[in-house]
Order: sequence, then C-alpha cells, then structure tokens
Amino acid sequence: MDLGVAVPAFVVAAVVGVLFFLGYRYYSSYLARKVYALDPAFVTPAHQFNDGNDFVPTNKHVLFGHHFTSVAGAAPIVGPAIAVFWGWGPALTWIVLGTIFAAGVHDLGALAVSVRHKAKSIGTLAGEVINGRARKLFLAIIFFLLTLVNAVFAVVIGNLFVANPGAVIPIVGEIPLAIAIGVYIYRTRSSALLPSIVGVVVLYALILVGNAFPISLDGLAEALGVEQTRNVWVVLLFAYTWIASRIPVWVLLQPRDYINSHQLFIALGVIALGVIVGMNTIQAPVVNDVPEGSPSFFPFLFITIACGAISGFHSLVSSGTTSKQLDKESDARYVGYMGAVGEGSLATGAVLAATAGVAASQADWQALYPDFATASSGATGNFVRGVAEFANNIAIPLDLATIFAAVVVISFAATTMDTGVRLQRYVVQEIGELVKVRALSRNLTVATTIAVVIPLAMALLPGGGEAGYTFGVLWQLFGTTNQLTAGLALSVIAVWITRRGRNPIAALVPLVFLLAMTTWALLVNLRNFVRDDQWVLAPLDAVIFVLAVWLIVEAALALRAAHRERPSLVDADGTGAGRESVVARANPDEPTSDRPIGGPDRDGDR
Amino acid sequence: MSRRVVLVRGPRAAAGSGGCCSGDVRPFDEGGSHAHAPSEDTVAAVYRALRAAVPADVAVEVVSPSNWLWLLPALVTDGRRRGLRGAALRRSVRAGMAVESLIADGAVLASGRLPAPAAAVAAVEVELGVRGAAGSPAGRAGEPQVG
Repeated sequence: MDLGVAVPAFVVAAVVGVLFFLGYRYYSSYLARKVYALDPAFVTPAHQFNDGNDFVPTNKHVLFGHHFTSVAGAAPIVGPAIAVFWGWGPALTWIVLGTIFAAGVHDLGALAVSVRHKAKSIGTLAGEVINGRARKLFLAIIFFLLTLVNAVFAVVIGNLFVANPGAVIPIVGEIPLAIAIGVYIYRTRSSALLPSIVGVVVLYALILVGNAFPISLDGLAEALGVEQTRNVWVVLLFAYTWIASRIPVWVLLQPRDYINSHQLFIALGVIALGVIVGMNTIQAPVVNDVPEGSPSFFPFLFITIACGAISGFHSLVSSGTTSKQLDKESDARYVGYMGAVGEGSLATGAVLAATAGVAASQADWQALYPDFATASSGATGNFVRGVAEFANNIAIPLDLATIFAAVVVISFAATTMDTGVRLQRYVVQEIGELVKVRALSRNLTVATTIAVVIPLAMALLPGGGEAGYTFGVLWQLFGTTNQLTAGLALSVIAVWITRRGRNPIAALVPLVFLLAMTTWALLVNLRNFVRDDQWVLAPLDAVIFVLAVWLIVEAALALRAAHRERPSLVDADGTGAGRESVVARANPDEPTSDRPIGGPDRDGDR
Repeated sequence: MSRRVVLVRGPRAAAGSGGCCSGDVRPFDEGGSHAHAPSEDTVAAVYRALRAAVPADVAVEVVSPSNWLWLLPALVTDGRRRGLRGAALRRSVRAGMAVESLIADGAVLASGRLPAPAAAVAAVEVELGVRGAAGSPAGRAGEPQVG
C-alpha cells in the first residue's frame, strides 16, 4: 500500500511522541490507580530492607536513569530494522500499541508486583504466585533466551564488521580504552564523566583511523577455508567474550557502559536532529506487498519486534534491581512505564532510519528489502546507513557518519553480548546446582566454556542456503523466547491482579495476544524446518514450543484457581479492591494471599 | 527547597548493565549464583549511618557515577544555590562527580574516598547545621573538605 505521497519522518516522530505522551498521561494513570493500586504510603522494600547497598530508597529520576540504561540497547534497533520489511505502518503500529498497551503494563506490573513481594525477582515470584514448576520453566526460558541473545548479537556484529571494515579499529580500540578508563577511575577514584567523555571523543577520533585503515578478514577466512568471513568474526568474538566475562565488571564492562550511555543519547539526538534538519521523507510503503512465500506479518511481525514493543527481559531488570530501589510505590508508574516509552522511542528511531534515512526513493528501498532473507541479513546495515544519512544532514561526511552509526550499534551489541555470556555462566552454574553437578556449579572455566560453546554453535549453524537466512531465523527464535519470558511475567502479573479482585484485562489482553502469536509462529516455523530438513533448528523450535504450551497450561490453571479464590478474598474483608489498601497500611508481606497454587511446592527448589 | 545529601557509589558498586536483553538482572536472587552483590560496600555503611542520623526531611540519595544525566545538573544547581560560580563551581562539580564522594546541599565534603561513617555524619551535620544557623548558603568555597 502506498499513500501516494512521501510522509515526512519528523511528522511521524511527532505523532508517535504525542501518542506516547497520551499513553503515559492516561493509560499509565489508569494502571497505577485501578489495576496495580499503587499506594504512596506503602513501605517499599527499599525502606523495609534498606541496607545502603542493593536496597536503597532512590529518587525516581535517579532510578529512571538506572532502569532506562539497563534496558535500552541494540535489540530495539535490530528488530524494527527487520520488521519494516512488512511496511512501516504495521511495524510502527505494533511499536506504538505494544509500548502503550503491552510493554508499559508489563514493565510497570513486574515492578509493582515485585515491590509488593519484598522486591523478589520475577523468577522467584513465578514460583511463589504460580508454583515451583513455573520457576523451573522460567529458568529454562532464560537459558534459551541468553543463548539466542549471544548467538544473535555475535551474528549482528560479524555482519557489521564485514560490511563496515572501517568500524573494526574503533571497536577493537574501545576495549583498551575502556580498560584504561576503568583502571583510571578505580585507581584515582575520580569522576567517571570526564574520562568517559574523553573515551567517546577518542572512540570517534578512531573512526578517522578506521576509515583510513579498514580491516577485512576475507583473506584469513579464505586461508582457513571458511565460506563466510562473518563466521571468523563470530569465533573471534566468542573467544573474546570467554575472557571478558571472567574479568571484574569494573575493568571493562562498566567503563564501556559509561561510554555507551553517552552514545545512546548522541544517537537519539542525531536521529532527532537529522530528521528535522534534513526533512527526510519515508520512502518505504506503508504496507509492503511482500513476495509470495515470505513470512506473513501475522504472526511474525509481533515476534520480530520484541524489545521496542514488549520485552520479557525488562521484567528481569524491573524485579531484579529497580524494585529494590523504589522510594515510593507510586514512583513505579514513572520509572516502569517511562522506561518502556523510552525503549519504544528508540525503536521508532530505528523504523525511521530504516525507511526514511536509508533510501532516496521507493525503488531504492525495495532493492534493500526485496525478500525476507535479504531484509533480515541487511537490516542492521540499513539502520546504520539510515542513521548515517541523518548524521550527514547535520554536516558529518557520509563515510565517517556510516562508521559512526556502525560503531554505535556494535558497541551496544558487544556490551549486551558481554553481559549475556556472563549471565549465561550464572545460569549454567545455577543449573549445575539444581542437578547437583559440581563441575558446572563450581568450576568457572567449565561453566564459561559451556556458556560460550552453545551460542557459538548456534551462530555458526548453517541455514537455508542463503547468507542471511540463519540470522533471520535466529532473530525469530530470539523473539519467541523473549515474548515467552514476557508471557510468563504477564501471567504472574495477571494472577496477582485477579487474586486481588481487580480487573485483570489490561494484563490478559497482551498475555493472550503474545502467547497466540508466539505459538502460531513456532508452529509455522516448525513445519518449515521439518520440510526443509533443518534438523538443528527444528528440535530447538520444538523445545521452545513445548515451553510455550507449558506456559499456557500453567497460566490457565493459575488464572482459573485465582479466579476461584477471588470471591473468598472479597468475602474476607468485604471490599475486594479495598483489601489492597488494608494490606498496604499494615504493610505485611502478603504471605497468605500468594501461596503457590496447588499448595506448597514439593519440588524442593524453594 | 528541601535539603539533600548525595552519595556517589564506588566503581565496583555501579550496576554493570548491557542494555536490552541483558543488564544487571540477578533474576535468581534467593540463594542462586546470581546473587553476586559485593560483600563490603563503604557507601552502604556511610549511607546507613547518615540515614539514621540526619533528619527525615533531608533526602539522602545514592547515585551511580555513570548517572551523570541526574548528577551533573544536581551538582550545578546545588552549587549555584550556594553561590558558587565560574572556576569554583567547575571544581566543585568535578569533585562531586568522583566515585565515593559525599555532597551535602552542594558542598562537596568528600571526593574520591569516603570517610568513616561517624566522620561523614559529623561533617554532614556540621554542614547542614551551619546552613541552618547562618541562614546563608555561601559558606566555604565549594572545595572538597574531607578526604
């Protein structure tokens, strides 16, 4: 579908901005008052367990800074840059509706429920609110999610290095730069701001060096007999993360994060300024007439854009660190909902870059998005070129602007991968504890190696015969797993709301929608994998499908039980919703209202 | 304007995040190996002592040094309110942004290393007391006074 007139990008950005504002102003207010019944008088865990370390009552603006920089990264860029394949209309619609009606409910809900339960994590809450099986389900989903995150971002970085050899020197140079900053801050105990700003300046100066000395590994790949140069990068990246995930966070991860936090705002500023100054118009069709045989946007759009519309991992941050620092329960609306809106804004920027920045005409754009394989393999490259165009509008030479945009995406993806491998090591260790294998739980080398080898194998697995196909599939598996995590968090939230006699529809609608899209996509993929003899992807898809069905069953049982319990709760105090305020004034930990459904867990994991 | 004491965390204590789909999530924080909180945190000890000592209407904020988007304007605003301008303000802000710094109503009492909890409380009480007694924010020149 074509509107017949190119829509100015800044008009779209302004409309999305207004919708996000209305969503925050009205819908988050409804959620805060009627659904989560946020009570400013409730004594939050930050006050209750105040230890000055993890549990600290924190100013809501300070906490928003922590929350947003923890959730914003490369994923809201990559998904939308692929999803515009179906046209910018569906992609933007899902980002706007998903942010307002799904991500906001989910992020704010995870924060609110965690705060009412001693700031416990969503995994622990799944065990408490639903049952012990749900907690194991959560662990399994997280394991898959981290595996896919690490594999996907290795492929993203590998593709970007191959496409932008000028970005190699700045990105590799960022590692000693970050270490130098980390050591400097640690030794001198001075301000992080100045060194990290100097770090950003040096990083961008290295772009000039990278532009003069682009580095390609084509020769090495040929000498090694590796068909795709990207795969050489993937192996090198995992070798690097094996080391990086074992060193203390303050040496590399934190200082690189300081640099990235500046880059996040620089990139958002460049996109915003670029679309205003350049008056770029969107050259992609509103709804793309995709070639026959392409994945349909129902259901694949809704799993391709995960972060940016709704991301299950946000519930981990909400209930992991943010809930321990919430000063007033009512601050959850600002911190949780606005965090989702911030992520949606980044995704909107990605859509604009991949439609308005990347092409001068609709024919140019169609050449970049001719089929799904090309679209998925070239998506991040298209985002990079789009942002480069926006940067070019503000007088940065195009070749340098392209490397700048690549550096932004690669830095984000590399930090995500670094943390992802580190977290995967923790999960492997935890699984080792569960199955009582000391080599897994205690031996750091074994745990790290497993955390690296599994995603490495996934990133290298062949798929479909086309260079980008594996990546397109991996991204969809990542999306389904991430949406399953969101589904689990939403089911915990929905059960919690139902038990309190309030209307759970705000959580149920995105929950049902996500589970329907996820299982539908998994089934379609499974059929295709079996048909195409994809015997690595097919079992993986089947496992995720089983997890999805398991989640649906657990969620349905828990909801039914919660619904049955509801009248007795209302009878107990005669008010239903008013029960919450009674609880809030007394401020107990609500041990009776959230006993696991089906009685105490007998699995021995609590 | 209510009074505020700001504590900047040390380099180890700042959240090590990596953006969407990673982050310092610690999802299995009940006995799981994700519970990797540092055992000793000087900021925590000073925070607890301050929170117990200073009046309830004084906000005590613990801020990550990477959260410059909040910290920088806060230091500039509080410093200007104390009457600092130009080079003095710049020195004060720079000192306040350092890890393990202690700032009371814009006065940088420690920079780069926190004093013992008792000393920190004494310094803050003197600072807040001076402001309360003199009624004038322009006390010392905004230089780090402890540590």
